[in-house]
Amino acid sequence: MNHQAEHIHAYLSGLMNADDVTAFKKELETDKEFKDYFAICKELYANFSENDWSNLPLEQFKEDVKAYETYYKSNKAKAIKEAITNAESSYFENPPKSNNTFKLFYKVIAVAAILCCVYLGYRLNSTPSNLELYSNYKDWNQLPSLTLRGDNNEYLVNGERFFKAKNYDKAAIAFQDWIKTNPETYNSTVLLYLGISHLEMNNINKAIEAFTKVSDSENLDASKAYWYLALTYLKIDDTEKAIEQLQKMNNNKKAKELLNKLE
Amino acid sequence: MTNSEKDDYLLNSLINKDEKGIAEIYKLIFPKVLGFVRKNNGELQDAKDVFQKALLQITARITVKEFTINSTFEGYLFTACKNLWKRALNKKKNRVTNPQVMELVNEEHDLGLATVELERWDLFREKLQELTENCRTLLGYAFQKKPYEEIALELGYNTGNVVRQRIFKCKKRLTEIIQRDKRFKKLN
Repeated sequence: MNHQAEHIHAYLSGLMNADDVTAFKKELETDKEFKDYFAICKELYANFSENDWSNLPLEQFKEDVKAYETYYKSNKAKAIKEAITNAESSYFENPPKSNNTFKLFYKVIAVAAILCCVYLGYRLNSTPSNLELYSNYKDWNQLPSLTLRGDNNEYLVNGERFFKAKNYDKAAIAFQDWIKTNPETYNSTVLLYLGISHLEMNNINKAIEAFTKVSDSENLDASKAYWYLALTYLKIDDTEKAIEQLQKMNNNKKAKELLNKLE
Repeated sequence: MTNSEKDDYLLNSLINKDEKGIAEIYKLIFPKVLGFVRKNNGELQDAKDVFQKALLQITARITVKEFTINSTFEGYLFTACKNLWKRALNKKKNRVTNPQVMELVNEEHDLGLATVELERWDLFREKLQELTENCRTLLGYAFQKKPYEEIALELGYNTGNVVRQRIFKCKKRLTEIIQRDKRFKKLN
């Protein structure tokens, strides 16, 4: 029976060549058992195959067809049909509510979008807030790289990598680890990176602490710390303290520009 | 309302001619049927026609013979619609190729034929449930005419040949189960 199943599959799937089809049909004629088996398979395919659009052969179900036919002609069935027709009309006359809600939804969105545009237009022409100034002026790309000098430390490499990937949490940990393992070495750039990482995570006190270490040092980078402290105060909306820091920057061009906007 | 309570409500609305409930059926299921018919060369009017007939068919299935829907109401209605659209398409095709044999078949008779088809479908689906999950999956692929090698890859069988043998066994098992059922009449 195994090869027969194969043949049936090939035949019903349309994978059989013309010669084989002839042989197959001959076998069907002569082998009664095979014919029965084929009939079931054919019905199976018609039933289950998504691509099979043939209908079942139904000649031998006359009685069943008759029973259904009688039902469809009955008054009971006609009454149901009428109810279905009425329901259909009411469905098409009153399209589903969801459509209306959708339309309303889009209208609301459109109005909101217009209001947003008007508001933004107004905001663009008015004085920017401190937080906007902070966002406009922060530019961490200008920080010098920590890893250009020959002796690359693992903490610094990782820290800078995390920092660039805006993974400030892990960056801060790496910088802190570097500071812990190099207690004798003072590196203002690492402190600035650490401070900014904290600033990005809104750990304002820790940011101020790191920046202050730089500003309090005798280092050349001390003046840079004023800038970052000013940005920190802008972020927490403390204009007075931001101005205080910027004024320490001895007429630095960028500081002056920002001061003008704040005063 | 749980899903099965909802199904009961929909079915009862249909049998009791509750127009509000029937409109609910339209709201829930008609868009899907419309989508199917449109995808297969049909239009809105075709979908409306098929949907009406399918609803009526369900009442026939329940009234004429003892029958309960095993799947969800939606699933069953959708299947009935699919079958009816298949029939409609085949009829169209025959009309185009053989315009002279266009016979006047009355609507009730035609719907009667379609309902027997649905009944056969119910029997086959019911019997399919008696197979193992694995067999059902394999047969599902086989009926979609997916190549054995691909089935093997997807289901983790070693070779396409193993799949072929498994499918053969599953088919054999299914045909045996069907043949044993008293509702199955031999197609001589």
